[in-house]
Formats: sequence, C-alpha cells, structure tokens
Amino acid sequence: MIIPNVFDPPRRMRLLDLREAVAFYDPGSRLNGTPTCDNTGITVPLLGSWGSTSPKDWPRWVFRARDLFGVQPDENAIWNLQGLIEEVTAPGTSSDYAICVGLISHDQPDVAQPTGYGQFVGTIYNSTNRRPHAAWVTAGAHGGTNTGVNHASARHTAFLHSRAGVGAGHTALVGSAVTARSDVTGLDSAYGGLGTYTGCTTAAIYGADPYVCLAVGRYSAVVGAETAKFKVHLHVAPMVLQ
Amino acid sequence: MAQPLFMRRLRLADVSNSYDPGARLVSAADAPGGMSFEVTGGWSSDDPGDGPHWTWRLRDVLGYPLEAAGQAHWTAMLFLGEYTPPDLASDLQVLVGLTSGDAEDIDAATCDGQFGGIEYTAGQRKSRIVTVLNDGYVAGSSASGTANNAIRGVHVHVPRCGLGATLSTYARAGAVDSSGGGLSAYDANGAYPLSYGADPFVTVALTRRAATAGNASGVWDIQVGLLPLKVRP
Repeated sequence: MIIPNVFDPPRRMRLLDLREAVAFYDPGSRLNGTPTCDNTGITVPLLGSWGSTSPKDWPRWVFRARDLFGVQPDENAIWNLQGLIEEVTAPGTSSDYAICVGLISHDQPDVAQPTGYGQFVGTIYNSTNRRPHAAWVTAGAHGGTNTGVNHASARHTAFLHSRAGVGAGHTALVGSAVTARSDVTGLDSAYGGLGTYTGCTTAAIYGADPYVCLAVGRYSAVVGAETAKFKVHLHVAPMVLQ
Repeated sequence: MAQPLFMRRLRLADVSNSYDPGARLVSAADAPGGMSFEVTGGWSSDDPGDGPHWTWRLRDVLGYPLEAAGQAHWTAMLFLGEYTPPDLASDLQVLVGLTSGDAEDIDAATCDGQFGGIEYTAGQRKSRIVTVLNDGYVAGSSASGTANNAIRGVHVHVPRCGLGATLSTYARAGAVDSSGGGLSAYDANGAYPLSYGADPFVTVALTRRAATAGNASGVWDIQVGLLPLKVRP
C-alpha cells in the first residue's frame, strides 16, 4: 500500500489499567496492602526485606496484548510494543524499589512457568539514584539483567519491545530497549534523552498471542516497606511496508 | 485501536545530498524493487562515512516537520530489504541509519548517527550495526550478528528519546512469514550519547569491510517510518 506524504498523526498512548489484567501473581506475598489504580496512576505498596533482580519473582499483573490494543499479531509482520513509565510519586531512591514492563510469551500468562519467555525493561531506585533496568526470562528461569547508567534527573523511562516476524510457535523476538528522559511534555530538541540506556539481547519466543506484564518489586533486600505511584503509557503500531 | 504505521520508500530521485569520498561509486539508480548500487572493490572500511552515502531529510520523506506534531517521543523505523543480493563473498555492507540534523554529511564534524544493515561475507549474510559520533565512526560500537543465509531484511528501530538502536533481521522482506518468523538475530547499541536534533536525516551508506577485488552490486528496498507518541494526560 502506498500512501505518500500523508501526515502521521501522533499515536496517543493508552494508560495501563490494573482492572484490565487477566491474571495477577504475587509470589512470596510481597504486597503491603492493596494496590490502587485510577487515571492518576497505579500505586503499589511493597514489603521490605526481600528482593530479586528478576521480575518473575515480583508481584505482577498480566494483560493480553490483543485485548489491550485490538491487534491480532498474526495479521501483521512487524509490530512493536512501545511505551513510557512515568514517575508520579517516587519511592525512596535508595529503596531498591523497581518497576518493569514486559512482553511475555503466548502460551501462559505467568512468565515464571517452564515455557515462559519474557523481556522486561524499566527503572530501579538504587543508591540514591534512578537507573534503567532490563531483565529477561527464558523457559521460566531468570535469564539475566542489564542495567543502564544512573541518572538522578530521569523521570520517565521509554521502552520498546520489538517483535520480529509472526507465526505461532515460531516467532522469534528480539530484544528490547529502554531510555530515560527528564521531561515528557514535548519534543525537546535541545535535550533529548538522558544518555541512559540498556537492553535485552536474548531472543524470546512470544508466539502469536503474547501478553504484557507489569511487574513491581524490590531489586534487593532493603529493609522497610515502600510505596510508589506510576503511570504506564503503552502503544502498539503494526508496520506496513509499501 | 492500533494505528498502522505506513512506511515510505526512499528513492534516489528525492535525495537531499550524495557523497562519494574516495570515488568508489560506479553507479546508483532507482530500480524496480528499490535502489541499485554498484561500488568498486580493493578498498575497505567499517566507517559509513568512507564510502558512497546518500542523505534524505526525514521531514521531507515524511511530509511534515517533526516539531509540528508536538509529540512527546518518537522512534524512527528503518527497513532495509534485499531485492537483488551482491556476491555473498563481496564483503559489502549496506547500511541505513538515522543521522543528526545539523550535518548531512557523515563526515561533518557534528554528525551523530546510528546505522543497521546487512553484511555479505564469506558466502553468508550477517546483520550489522554501526555508530557514528561527532563525525567519527565509533569502532567499538560496531557489531555483526550471526551469519544466516535466510536473512533478507533488517529492521532498525532508533528511539529519539535517548540513544541507541535495536536491530532485528527477517527471513522475508515485506511479507508475513508464518513459517519462519524472525531470525533471532539481534544487536543493540546504546552506550553512545547520540544527538539527532530536531531535523534529522536518513542516510544510506555502502562500504567494503575487506579489500576484496571486483565491483559489488545489488538492489535494496529501503523504507522509513516515524512513530510519534503522545502521552495521554
């Protein structure tokens, strides 16, 4: 299809709403009370004295991608899950509070199961700073992490999960990227990103019916309960080649 | 809910500028299936600024200035599809990248750029990623993916907000491949503080990665899209 010189309207991202989750997991019962969610953001209170670098060990909500976006992935060769994690109320910057958004495999919503794959990216609050965090899960097991550079000014974390190809059982996906920026109100030609970056480089198998996962946890076992509030903005755009 | 992103095909007829340091270009033309290129042999460089390269102003390709949309965040989507391959042992690399708006020429002093593409070497295809920072090719930034002769296309995703790029390769260009899907070849660059500015360019560059004798030629379909994102208040 050829549509030359057509104005591309900006894609308005949608807010993630916990009430749309199809599954919730809290391994270890780490929630410290009841999370809340409205148009101002998602608040998740967490207990202290526990931690993990892997989102598979964190409290997490799972959303079916095709229900969130109205996209049946098989219809399109290429699509990307893009979004921003916006900090509304920060946790303690030494609390090791962590938030990640992942794209996970098709066959079961809980990524911590034997056939679960997932790529997660987000932010950790560690050593009085903010830092991008990427983690991946392979066959239900923690696969590894990459962490970006500390940047205290970061207030938004932009991420992209690129999903290559299609086809149930064959889809190989590839990687995710996360960047941080201090503003989100407009295109800032002078400033741009903050220079913090990290990515997942391990292939994951998403299949034709993947899920989105919001995971909130503690990166390491810092003592004391902690609460924070975020907005999670998401968008999916299928790419159509000429 | 999801709005498709329609890609634009680059054509040499629309190019902003062309460069040929070292006079390595034999021919370049719009052709069925994309753009055809032929370059000389007997020279080598990993630096996309050392070989023939062409720039397109992104806002002209898109048809609107990037600032006008007021988007909070965008990601440039670059696609390189192989239509007619060169000799697979030619050591040719074909790159497409996003480069900064203040310098069209990769060799200009302030040019930053993030490239992805395909390398043809030892009878195989590999994905390729390369960074240019302040006019200099960043040697430590380049990487080649795993050789896979099923590769026929590369997508490069370049986020405006911050840095780097993710790169993925495809067995078939421009078509849904329900049997094979993606190839898992992946690479990412992110360690370099690139600045694309508000008026970036798309650059296509060719070099020989080894001083293999003989010309190398082929046809590639190169397309560009921009995904501007706005935050819902």
